Amino acid sequence: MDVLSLDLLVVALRLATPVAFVALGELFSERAGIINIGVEGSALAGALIAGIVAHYSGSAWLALAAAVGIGMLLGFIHAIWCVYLRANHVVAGAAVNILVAGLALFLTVLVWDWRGRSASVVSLDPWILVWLLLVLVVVAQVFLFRTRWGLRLRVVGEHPQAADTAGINVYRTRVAYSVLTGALCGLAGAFLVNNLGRFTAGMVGGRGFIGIAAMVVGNYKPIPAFLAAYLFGFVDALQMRLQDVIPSEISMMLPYVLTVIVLAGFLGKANVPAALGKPYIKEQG
Amino acid sequence: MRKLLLVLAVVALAATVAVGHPKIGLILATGGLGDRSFNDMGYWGAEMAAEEIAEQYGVSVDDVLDYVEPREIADYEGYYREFARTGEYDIIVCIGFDHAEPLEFTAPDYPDQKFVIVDDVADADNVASVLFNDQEAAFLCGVVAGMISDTGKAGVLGGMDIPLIRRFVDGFTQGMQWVDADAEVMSRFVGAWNDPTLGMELSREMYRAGADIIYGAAGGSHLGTFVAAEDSADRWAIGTDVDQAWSVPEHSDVIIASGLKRVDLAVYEEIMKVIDGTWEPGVIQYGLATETRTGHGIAFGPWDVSEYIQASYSTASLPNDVVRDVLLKLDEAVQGILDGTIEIEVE
Repeated sequence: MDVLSLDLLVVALRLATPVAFVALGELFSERAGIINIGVEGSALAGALIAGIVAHYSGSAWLALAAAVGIGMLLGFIHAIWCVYLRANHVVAGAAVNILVAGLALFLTVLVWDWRGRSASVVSLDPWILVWLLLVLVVVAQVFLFRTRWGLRLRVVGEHPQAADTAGINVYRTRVAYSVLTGALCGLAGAFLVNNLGRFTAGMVGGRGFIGIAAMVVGNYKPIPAFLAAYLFGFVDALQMRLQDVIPSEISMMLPYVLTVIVLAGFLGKANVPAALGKPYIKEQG
Repeated sequence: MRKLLLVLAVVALAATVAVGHPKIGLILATGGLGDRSFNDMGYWGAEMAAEEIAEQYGVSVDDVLDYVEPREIADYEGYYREFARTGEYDIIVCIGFDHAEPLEFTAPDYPDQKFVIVDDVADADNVASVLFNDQEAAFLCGVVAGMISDTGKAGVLGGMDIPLIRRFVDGFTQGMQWVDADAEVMSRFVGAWNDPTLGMELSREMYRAGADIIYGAAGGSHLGTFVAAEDSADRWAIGTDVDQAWSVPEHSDVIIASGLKRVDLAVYEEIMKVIDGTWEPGVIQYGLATETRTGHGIAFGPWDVSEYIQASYSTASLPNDVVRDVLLKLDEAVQGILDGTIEIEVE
């Protein structure tokens, strides 16, 4: 069998899409100074709510909107914890992950009387979301580096005091971009449900965390972050074909080995926002 | 006053009766209930036994059956001790191969407590280990694939590359080649039991490489196989453990058959042996040839021709004469396995 073909690139794009949505989402939060490891749970929540809304309404579009909505809500809650209550960002994010993992089991029992899994639900062509992703990546790149709003966002993450002095509301900016992160995670979850045609509790399966890694590898820039996500998708697609050639234990390791290698190689020169993870306290400016 | 005494007497009587009835402890695998497969079957078996016991003693099922769903393998030992320490349970049933090590370690501490483990051996004097010849059901599924495949190629989607799943791959391959010596079977492993997205992509991969039937042995991950089979009209899938045309009815049009593993009957059997006083520790190997016929079989087609070949809820559109031919071939395979003319080799 031919290992390399055009088809491989297509499969890689499908595998990369949820990772890239999360990577793009995480990018906005971290640029604003908020670490959000709750993206894994936010994506799962998006998938869960997409499944539930599709089940009751029969509308895949409404389900998509609901997935974005729940993501925004979780992003908002995370921002309140981190910005106003000055919680530890990592702990707050972990709380979201645990909360959603529990909710997924509970709500699937309520809705489908089947723990951790939905019945088939109506779905969109997942390629709609792939195209949406590609557009968003380009828009994000332009937004971040070619617009006034993008500059303000970057300043909030780099030097919140300076931003504050210049009249930018640091708190509100952080909350707003955290909400945007949630929305993008919701899209990641919605993609997974539309791709499979149903919800399962394990369906995010670490793709959220890989998304964070992709964002770091992409050096906090949208297009490179997408390319990093695509690289993970590509290696995942490649290992599927290589299972014929090399033992599956080895081939299944490849995406993770790659993550370690790439992170070790890139982390040194990553331009981490200076104020990342630090609460901003106005009076102490 | 007399009324109060009467009430007390009734309560006391009820208490003595309650002490008298047998109790079952059930410890599931980490996957937990809701898989409509392995864990659920373990529960159904225990529930079936509990219903009988409850009726006999005039109590409720909840009085007879207590179960827990551990989140981690590390929790297993705590539950064994918690159940065993009370001394109330006539039998403690442990579902899943990963119980073997902790149970083997813990069971000797409670020599009077009876334990059952399903899918692996825990070597202790008070444990009955229930095993299944998975390769036999896999062989029958391979026979179906060999009869129905147009391309002469099929695939197996495994959860992990472990000996348990190798039995499925080996049995399936030999079954298909028993029908069609030139048949080719490829295999792919997901690396997880709950990643249907990856399962779907791996299945598409095998379908694209020419397989027209894929046998799923990957737990929740091979849900993705059924979705991938829907992509095109000439693709089929085969399920595992239960009749998946029943458990995943949305895809019953592509699920032509399912290998069966009657965990429910095995659990029921062990519990009832305790009640009858015939229970004993050791290894119980279920397969087509076992006397109790609890072991294996296949769900295929609309007709129930024998205890091994059961009617399926499949709605796959196969012509009746094809179904009849497959059933005859299956019967031949079953007879071959029973009389030893077919030997299935596993690593």
